[in-house]
Order: sequence, then C-alpha cells, then structure tokens
Amino acid sequence: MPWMAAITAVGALLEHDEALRRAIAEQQNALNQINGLQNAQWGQLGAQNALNQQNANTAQQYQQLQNAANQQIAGLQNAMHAGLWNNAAFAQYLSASIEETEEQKAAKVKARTLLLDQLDETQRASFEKSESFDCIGKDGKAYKIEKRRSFNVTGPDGAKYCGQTPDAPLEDQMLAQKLLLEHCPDKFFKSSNKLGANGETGTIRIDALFGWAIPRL
Amino acid sequence: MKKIRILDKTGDTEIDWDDSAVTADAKALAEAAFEKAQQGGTAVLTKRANGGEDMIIRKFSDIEDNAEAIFIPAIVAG
Repeated sequence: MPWMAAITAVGALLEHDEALRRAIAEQQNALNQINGLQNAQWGQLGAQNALNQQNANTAQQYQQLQNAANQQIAGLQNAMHAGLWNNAAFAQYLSASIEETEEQKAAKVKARTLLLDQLDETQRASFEKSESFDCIGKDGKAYKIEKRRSFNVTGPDGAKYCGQTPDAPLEDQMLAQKLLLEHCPDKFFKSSNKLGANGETGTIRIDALFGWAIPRL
Repeated sequence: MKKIRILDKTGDTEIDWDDSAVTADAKALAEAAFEKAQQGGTAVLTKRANGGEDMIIRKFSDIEDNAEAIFIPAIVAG
C-alpha cells in the first residue's frame, strides 16, 4: 500500500515541521528575553552615568566651597601673623579658654545689676526669663537683644547684627547696644557686622582691623 | 550730686561729685574721663533725674544736678 507509506511520510514531515516551528518560537522567545535584559542593562548604565555626573558636580561644588573657606581662613591667619588682628578681639578668643577670675565674676554681677536697673519692667521680666529682651530703636523698629557675644541683635526683618564691647561683660555689651539703638543708632550700625535674613549678602566690617570693609562671601 | 558711670571691664566705674571743694578731685577726674570719651568716640547719655527725656550730651557742663551720665563704650564689629 504505497499510498499508506506516503501518508505516513507526509505525517512525519508535518510533525518535523511543527517541531521546527516550536524550536524557532522558543529561540525567538529566548532572543526577546535577551534583548529585554540588554535594554534593562542599558537603562541601568544610563542611570549610573547620570548619578556619576551628579556626584561629580556635587564634588566640584564642595571643592569650590572648601576653597573659598580655606581662602578666608588663610586671610585671617595672614592678618593675625601680620599683627593686624584686633587685640581686644584676640583677647576675647583667648578668654573663652581661660578660667574666670574673681574680678571677672564680680564684674559680671555688677554689669547684670546695672543692666537690670536700666531695663523697664517688661524688659527685665523677659531678661530674667530668657536672657533676652526687646527694645525699640530710635528708628521706631523693634530689636531683640540676646545674651551672647556674637550676632546677638536681631532686627525686625530677621537680620542679625554683631557689635561688641570685648573688654566689658556681656551684660554691659547688651546695655551699650540697647542705648545706642535707642539714642544713636548710626554709631551702632556703622560699627556692626550684618548678617542678612533669608541668606542675602551682608557686609563684614573689619574697619577696626584694616580700615576698610570686604564683602561677605 | 552728679554722677558718671563708665562701662568697662569691671562692670562699671562710678564717679560722683558736686560743686563743693570736697569733691573737686572727683570732678576733675570725671571731666578728664569725659574729654577722653569724647575723643575716643564714646557716646555719653545723660539719664535725667527729673523724668525728662534721656539725651546724648557733648559737653561736660550738660550733666545736670542729680543726673547720671552713662558712658557707652564704642562697639567693634565682631
């Protein structure tokens, strides 16, 4: 029965063809998966490159800031070495690490007594509660004076001012600042460093050291 | 009686005097301190005993009887 043999042969061929198709489909699937993995790898590589670039930018910015800070420190060190550092300011830095003498303790008590005597009732209560008080300047604006040496006066706009009496106790400095703001604010603002609110640039006054002013970085 | 009060490292230094001969030395000392303060840029504020308005003075003779003058030290940028 030759036709039976032919049918069997055709059937075998069809089966073989089907097996080939399945194999091709499986290979295609595998290829698609490989392509997908490659695409994912490319994506990761792109993200990594972007991250590397970001890190490089951050490092560059950090380096710029560090350089600026180093320049400021070097400038101050040069000023100190050249003998231009204000003696009173230098003494103040030194005094922070020196134990307080009996005379200094007595001076503090005396200065505190005088300050309290010069404050009105509201200011006195505020000072005894929080070691700070508000005063109204000659310009009609309210200023907050806090008990610390540097940048202890805050204006109504949030700007901070630093005008010190380095030889006198802190309470004397607070009293001097209060009286100057109330009666001769020009003297106060002319001799104070200003640190602007909201990060705007102020002016660092080092007139007492160099006789001129430089912009704050 | 008149008084000056100088803010300094001791807290403050007071000098009292009147126009009597007994306090002549104190008055001379106060006047010298006043002149030195004027030259050094120290502001001098007189606190009036009679409740009048406090004011900056530039002459030693402006210190009134029963008044207290406070020497406000010049501040320096910190």
